[in-house]
Amino acid sequence: MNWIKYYHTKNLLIFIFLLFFAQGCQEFIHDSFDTFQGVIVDKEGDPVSNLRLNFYSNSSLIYSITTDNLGAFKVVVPSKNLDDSYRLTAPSPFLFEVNQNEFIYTDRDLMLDPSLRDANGVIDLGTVILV
Amino acid sequence: MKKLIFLIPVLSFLSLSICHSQEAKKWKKFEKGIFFSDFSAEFLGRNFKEGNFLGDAYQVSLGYQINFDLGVSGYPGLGFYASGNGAKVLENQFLGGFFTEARFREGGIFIFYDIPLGDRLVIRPELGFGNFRVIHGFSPARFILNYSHFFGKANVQYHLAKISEDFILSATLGAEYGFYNGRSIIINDQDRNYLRRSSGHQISTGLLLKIH
Repeated sequence: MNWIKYYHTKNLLIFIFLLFFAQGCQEFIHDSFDTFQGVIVDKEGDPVSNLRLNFYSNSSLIYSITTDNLGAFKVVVPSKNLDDSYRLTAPSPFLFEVNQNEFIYTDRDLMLDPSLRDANGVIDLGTVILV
Repeated sequence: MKKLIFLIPVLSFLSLSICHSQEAKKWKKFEKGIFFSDFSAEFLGRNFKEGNFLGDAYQVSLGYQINFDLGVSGYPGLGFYASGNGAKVLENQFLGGFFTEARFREGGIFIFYDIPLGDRLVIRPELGFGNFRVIHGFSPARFILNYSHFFGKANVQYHLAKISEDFILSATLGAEYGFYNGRSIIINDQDRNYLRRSSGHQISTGLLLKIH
């Protein structure tokens, strides 16, 4: 009878493993949204209103948004388990001023990191300078 | 199409009423204290109030609901239900355009009380709650939103036919109003109420088999 017990235990363990594996492979986090928000300002620090920005997930355009009177923008997407690459693109001829590890450069794309989300799923980009 | 589907139980009711008009004389008077169970299958029309996420982001299709109820006549009873609808995802600022369709699935429990009106008509008020799930996409790219659903419902049953001494077939028509609360949903402060809270009504019609 021991082999029956062994057989059942083995199947149960395989089932539990597959269950966890399937759960771990889920692309999205259920009941959770990520919010990317920030304020676009020019070199003088004045808000840039009515600026049309494109928001991409990998290479797919998923939103076109416009900054409000205070230069603020907000984008909401379902949260993902595997942190996807998102980017915000400025309309030509504008460029974002990017500060990466004290190294400042300009780029048309602003890369967004969803792993920086807080408890409410908010990724606050703060003030983003447009040149 | 919706109208046609809702007409099916009405037409069944009419045809069976004519066929069984002679049976009308045989309906027993309502007796208290008799254990019963019933099973029903219904078409379900679901509608959310606009001005919140569930109301603005989905166009809901006709669905189904199945119920299993237990009770003792003259006393409140207990019911279990499962329901489902398909839905088209409308343009919105939350789902990122990742999904075009969604499936609504719900399961829950309710209490009811049967009020007989004459030999053939029963009014059944219900109060219940369930877990309402909005399922987008398919595994491993599924995205699920969970809501609690609290509702009140008024159901009318009309006895169509006595299949045997213990089995009664009825047509049902129900109207429900309920509140949805997705308090487990994580989102920014500004959009929280819009996304988490909703209300809506449902209309259902179908057939019920009661076993004494």
